[in-house]
Amino acid sequence: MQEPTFLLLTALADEPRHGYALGDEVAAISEGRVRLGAGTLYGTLDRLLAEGLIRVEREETVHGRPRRVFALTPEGAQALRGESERLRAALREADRRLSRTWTRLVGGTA
Amino acid sequence: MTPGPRRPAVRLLRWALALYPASYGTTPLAEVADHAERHLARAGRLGGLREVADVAAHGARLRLGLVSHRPLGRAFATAAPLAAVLAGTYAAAHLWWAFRMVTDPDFETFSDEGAQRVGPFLAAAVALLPAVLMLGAVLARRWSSARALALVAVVAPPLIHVLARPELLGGAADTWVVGLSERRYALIVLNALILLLAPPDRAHPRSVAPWAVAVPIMAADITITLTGGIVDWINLSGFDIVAPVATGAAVACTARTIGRTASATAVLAAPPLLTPALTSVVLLPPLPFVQRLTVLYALGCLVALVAVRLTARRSRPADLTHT
Repeated sequence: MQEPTFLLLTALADEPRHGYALGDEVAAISEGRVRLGAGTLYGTLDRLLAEGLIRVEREETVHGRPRRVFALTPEGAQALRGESERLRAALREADRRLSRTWTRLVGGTA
Repeated sequence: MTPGPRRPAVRLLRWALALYPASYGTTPLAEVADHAERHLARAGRLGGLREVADVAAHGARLRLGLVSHRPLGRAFATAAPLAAVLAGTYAAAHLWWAFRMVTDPDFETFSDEGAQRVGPFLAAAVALLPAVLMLGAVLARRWSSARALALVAVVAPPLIHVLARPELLGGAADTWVVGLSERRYALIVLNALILLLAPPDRAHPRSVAPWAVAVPIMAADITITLTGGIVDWINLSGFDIVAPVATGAAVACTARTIGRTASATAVLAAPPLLTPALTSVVLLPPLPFVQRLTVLYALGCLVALVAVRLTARRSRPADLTHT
């Protein structure tokens, strides 16, 4: 799963959101590192819709502008959980190896 | 107070939005327009152009039916690194050629090919076209992993030629420098379209992908150089040498394991290694340039399409490794 996809699913994990709010949320989660353009954002949302990982919860009009509110499906939640677990396992392993290297370095300079 | 969107960018955005097919729906299109306009209001000149390019690429992909949840769209994405490599090669070669045209009035290629017909200024402008296209690709962020490959494809061949056959030093440049021919520019435009319209890069794993493409390209180049084929190929662009192997290697890049990547790369690197022998004037009369180009490119794309479809069929539906 690529990072924008992961971040989009994460942004939908706590509550349904519309497209523009999703873009802002992704930027916030990634601390400004990932900013999705409109084409990339809606292209990804279209794909996630086609794959059944998200759904359109409702359509609304705010200030004369129509917008769709997206929500995570159970399949989407499961995919996010799986990816999250995979990343967590990789992080644990990275931490374990780094701590071993650090210990060796400290031991070598002592 | 939020500054208003820049007018030229807004006009470009209108054109970009016109690329969306009617079937996309008014609500989604209005959302895209609203989102892009808000970005334009906050973005600088470069950021605004990037936003417009992003919208245009999405609209064009939708219109052409190349969305990433369809096999054809995935095959299209597979071709993106190939297009980046080729466009990068063309861009660098033509930039160099333009430089030579300006600095050396007696530059041989200038009098050899179509530059004579169209005049030096137009020739120089056309020579810069690939570089401009590459700039567009960079703006659209469509070549992140492939830029390393483009570098390898541009830098490695001259070095290999010079190391293997120092006597080519004087003429090595001509090998990669091509004149103004309609079919070559048609290919540049074709590759640029593939590159610009393709979804964002999806090479996996990232550390393997660039080298999976670069190694077979260099292997083919070394083989051609060492077997003396370079003399017979002197009037060709690198396209027909590189296209099938880069296409095949791009397929290999989408494979999910290192083992499959390696094996696919090895298998698909074979045609360009054999091509010099098959097309050598000594063994067989060479095929006309356009036929060879078309056949090899079509073959490469066919292999890519079949490989992607097979991979997609074997994968689990919810597996997002290729997302």
